[in-house]
Amino acid sequence: MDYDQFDNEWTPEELAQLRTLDSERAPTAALKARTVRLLRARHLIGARWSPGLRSVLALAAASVVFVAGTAVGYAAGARRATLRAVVPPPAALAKADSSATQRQQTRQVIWF
Amino acid sequence: MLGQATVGCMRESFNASTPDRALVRAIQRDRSEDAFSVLYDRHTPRALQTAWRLLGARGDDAEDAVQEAWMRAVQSLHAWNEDASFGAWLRSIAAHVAIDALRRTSRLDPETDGAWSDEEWASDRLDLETAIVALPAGYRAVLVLHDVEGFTHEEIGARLGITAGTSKGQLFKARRAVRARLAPKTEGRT
Repeated sequence: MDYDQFDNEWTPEELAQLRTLDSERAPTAALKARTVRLLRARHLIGARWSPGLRSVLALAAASVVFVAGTAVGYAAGARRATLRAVVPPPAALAKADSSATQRQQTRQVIWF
Repeated sequence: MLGQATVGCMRESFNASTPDRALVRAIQRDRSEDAFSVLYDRHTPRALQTAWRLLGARGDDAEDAVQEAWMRAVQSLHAWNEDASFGAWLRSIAAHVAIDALRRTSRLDPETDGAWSDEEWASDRLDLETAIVALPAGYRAVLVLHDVEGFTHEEIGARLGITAGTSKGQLFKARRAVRARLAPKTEGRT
């Protein structure tokens, strides 16, 4: 059956009446409360870090990285200074070796 | 630059004039409950009315459908096309949930569900809203989706699991039934 062949459209009066139907219905307060509760329970809304807290945490993380870097750098520098005090630098060792082995001291005595 | 940083550290505030797009992004980005609250207040009344009509004026079932619709909507916010109306998208989900509920309770059979009981004929004359709500579920679904919500027969067919032709047929019968119901009882029976 082809229903397009029948003129079954709403009349202008009926259409006007249709347009006056309420388009909204006030929900109960309980609906909002339980919807929010459900969405929270499914971790779809709420209880995540706010933008402010997120900034604070980012700043704290940056501070930790900075302090850790400073500490590592300080420790490395201190270790190098200690080594320098105990072991002479390679250049000094080389110089000492060459003067001991290659330049033999000669004592010349002149008799008058 | 400094201003932007300051704003970044402050808590975002939302109100009735905040666009849907900004609210949706805040929910996606921060799970903002404040943004959801504004979006909920703005769009729930229409979605509830759609579900209420489709479900035959059963308030509790309509509220359940809207709650489920919100859950599905928030879960799939990425699927919302920002160029389209958020309200229409939500109503479409609410309609889908309501139709699923009708189908689950076997109250939706567009092919056969067309008769009113004697009790339903008892009242002499009804207003349009009551006449629509009193329609058998199959008729009501097609009439509400097409004439009130503005879906096409193809869209209705896809939602109800029927052909577009069947949807047209149901609409034809639904309109005839509403007209008969709106007329005085003697006219309606002839």
